[in-house]
Amino acid sequence: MDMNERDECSSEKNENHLNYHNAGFSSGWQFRNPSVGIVAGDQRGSMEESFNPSLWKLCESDMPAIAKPVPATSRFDDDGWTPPDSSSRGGSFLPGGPAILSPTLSHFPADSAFIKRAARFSCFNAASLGGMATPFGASHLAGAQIHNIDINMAKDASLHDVDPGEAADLGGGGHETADSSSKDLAAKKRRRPAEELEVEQGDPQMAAAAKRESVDTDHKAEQSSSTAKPNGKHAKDASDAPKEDYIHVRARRGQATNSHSLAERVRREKISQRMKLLQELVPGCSKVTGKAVMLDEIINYVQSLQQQVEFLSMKLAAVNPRLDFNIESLLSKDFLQSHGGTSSAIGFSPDVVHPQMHLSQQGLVQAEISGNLNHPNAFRRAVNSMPNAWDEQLQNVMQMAAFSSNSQQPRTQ
Amino acid sequence: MDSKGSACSNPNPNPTFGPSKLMLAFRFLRALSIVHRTTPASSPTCRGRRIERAAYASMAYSAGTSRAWSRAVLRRLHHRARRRAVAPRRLSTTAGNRAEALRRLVPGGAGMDYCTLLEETADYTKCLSMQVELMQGIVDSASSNGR
Repeated sequence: MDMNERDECSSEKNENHLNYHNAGFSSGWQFRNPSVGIVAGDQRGSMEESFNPSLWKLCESDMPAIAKPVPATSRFDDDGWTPPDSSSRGGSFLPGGPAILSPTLSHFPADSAFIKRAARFSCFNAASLGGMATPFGASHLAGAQIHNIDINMAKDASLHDVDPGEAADLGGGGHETADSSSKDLAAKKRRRPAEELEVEQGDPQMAAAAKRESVDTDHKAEQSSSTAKPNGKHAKDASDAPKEDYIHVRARRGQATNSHSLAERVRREKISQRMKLLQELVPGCSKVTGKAVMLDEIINYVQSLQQQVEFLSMKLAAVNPRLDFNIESLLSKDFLQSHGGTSSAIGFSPDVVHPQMHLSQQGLVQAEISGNLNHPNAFRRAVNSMPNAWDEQLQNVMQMAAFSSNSQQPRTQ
Repeated sequence: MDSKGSACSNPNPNPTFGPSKLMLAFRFLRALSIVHRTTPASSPTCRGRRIERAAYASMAYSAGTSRAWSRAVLRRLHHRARRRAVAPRRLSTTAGNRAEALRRLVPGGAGMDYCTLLEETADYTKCLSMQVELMQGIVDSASSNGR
């Protein structure tokens, strides 16, 4: 079974990270089993034998102090299974895997968050190795079971307070391991500020324990409900990547402690990232400090844009016949050029299209993308144009349209 | 499925998101011509509304179905759930929660968590500004050319 699976893996994609992934899978699975108590003994044994060599060959050898599965987990985190938007941030939590694990284990031997993390791993893996569903059917089922437990446990976890000592431990551990693991420098760099941030934020968080508790309960509920969905989806469709990965990221971070602070940190990090993105988009927003003000700016901007659209469409409704003529001729030219060659085409004559109105252009639009993209008219040029060059572009379009309409109008009508 | 696949294969977290201007312009111009041709005699407000809808539709089509806001716009357009589908007219930003205000502004923002909301807002804003540029350009060229 195991050999089969490995072969499949390496033949499917000749990439190392898949092997890593494999290794991470097996050891994560092993690791989980004892703690949860749903054990497929023989499976575990054979996996251990077959995967550990590759695991240890591929993983770095300079993390002696940490339990076996831990580097595997971090390695797993490191590879290509992270989603697009987590690939940058994902790195920041790599050292966190090992770092956080040991304190958590020492403090809370039967920590629910730990079980939860294990459960998440199992579902993710079972699905992401979709092709090998059969050998791992058992593990997937187990994952689902664990997940059920997990929801209950998560609720429990969200109800009891985090003690400050744990957060401190967490930070310290993060630094240590980040230093000791020489694997991912960038990840370390990113991790350190994050840890410091966390340690700093630890105190206010503790001070506002009651408030945070409620927030975290919400967060927990959201998390568990959001993980509940993909569990079912995994079985059907393993290629539904973005959502899974997104959840996976959360799980990975939640795994570390009993997860309040980690999850919150992830969330904060994401929010500030997006805020930065928005800041670039919204003019006049870069000077503003403070999220509330920034949000106000964003809201105003969006609102004004929507009003502008409204206003401009009214204006466009008033402006016209000449514009109308130009556009029409432009479009007819497009029809001719893109579909003229294949005259057997699907009847894209304007007469057919028009009664359907703009609301049902979908088919037309899709059909036209291909044709439109490979002929060098003014639109084509507009692709590479600068954002503020609209006017000239449109002038070009109009002129070309007017020009071509003279020559091609007879053919269209 | 395709859009999801492409979204996942893209390693860059914030690529040049938003639609290409080419397609946006093309769609909108075509829709505009259709509106003008099919409603020659209707009142300017009615026509303006149609153009506005066309603007949002072309935005949404250009953005593709990978975005929640574009899906929401398209859903509303297809089902005609509300008369004033896309842009809720008035909203009070002063009323406490800013996130709520943003949620009402961005199509499909109702059930989103905060992170997703911000992401969608970014994309939506980008598309919207592009659309406004385009429409402004059309208006300008029409008023300078046509008269």
